[in-house]
Amino acid sequence: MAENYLFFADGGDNNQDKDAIMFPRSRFIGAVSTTVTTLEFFFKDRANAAGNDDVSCTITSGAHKTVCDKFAELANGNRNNTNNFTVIADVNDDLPSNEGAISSAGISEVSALTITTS
Amino acid sequence: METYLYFSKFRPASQSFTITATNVSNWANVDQGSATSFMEITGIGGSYNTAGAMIGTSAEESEIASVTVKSAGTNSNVGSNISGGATVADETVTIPMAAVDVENSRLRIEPASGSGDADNKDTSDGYTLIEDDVVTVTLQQGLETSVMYAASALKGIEASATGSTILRFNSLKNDGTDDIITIAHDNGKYEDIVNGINAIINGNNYNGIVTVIDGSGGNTVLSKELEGLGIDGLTMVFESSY
Repeated sequence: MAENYLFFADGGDNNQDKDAIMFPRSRFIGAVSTTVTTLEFFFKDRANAAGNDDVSCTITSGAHKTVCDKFAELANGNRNNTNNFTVIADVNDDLPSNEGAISSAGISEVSALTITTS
Repeated sequence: METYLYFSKFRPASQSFTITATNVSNWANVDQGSATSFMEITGIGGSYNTAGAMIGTSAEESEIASVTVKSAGTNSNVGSNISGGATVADETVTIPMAAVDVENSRLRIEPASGSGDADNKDTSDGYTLIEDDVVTVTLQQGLETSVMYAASALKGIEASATGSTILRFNSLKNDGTDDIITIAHDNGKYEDIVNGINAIINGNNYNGIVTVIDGSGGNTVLSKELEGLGIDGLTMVFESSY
């Protein structure tokens, strides 16, 4: 079965540490609310370190279930016969001129995100 | 295809307290709610780490959207930032969170007047309650009020008492201890819970996220596989703070 690759990018230029990251869907563990406007996604650590990797997303107030719904739909999307990865959230609005725009901004309720890796 | 399991804590959308003469007496010159009578909020907090401590210093405050007071009568013992420092009967005002504390699910409001010290009085944001005032607390999503797990993160389901069952998941943070969700249900329903979870994950009824148990907003939403089991409570214990 084709693997879905889930892409996150913050508001940087995709040229700094943790500006962007991509995880195979199979590495996703879960997501938890942390405030009324934040939802944190966790993935199995890429480096097999003690702590998992996470992406903390700033979302529309109280829209946790909506964002979870959209995440599940995207993560389970059929990737057969495509060569694209799946954009969960891309809030980069200042891509370098030599990079083309990504075709999707992802989940509209996400307005900012912070990537933490171990 | 992965199934995603969504859970949310049980609690009301809001909760109100009518202040009694005893409350007023007990709370004179101290944070109101911190004496022998108190305002206890149902369903907030409840997430503890392995050391038994509440996760996050603001774990409970994060779950409160607003605290309002409907005044029972004219009251001039009100913080200067609230309605110009005085309220009239039936006026409803919002208490700034600077004057609100929540600890062990108990709400406290700093008074605006009296002989309390700086820790027990706030002349700017505080509010000295009078008899028959109505305090209303409105809740919101906060720290660890809802969670979604990939079904593949489920490690096991164990009976913990005749009326409760534990779902054990891989830790979100991977710090060495499982995350657990404890479901309260009618006695003797463990096998039905297991069958229901199995049907959710391995059946053909879902294609993505499944609301397994959602007790938020005072309305209990259950997946149909878990209906009729008397589910009336859910606690989530995560391994570590976020």
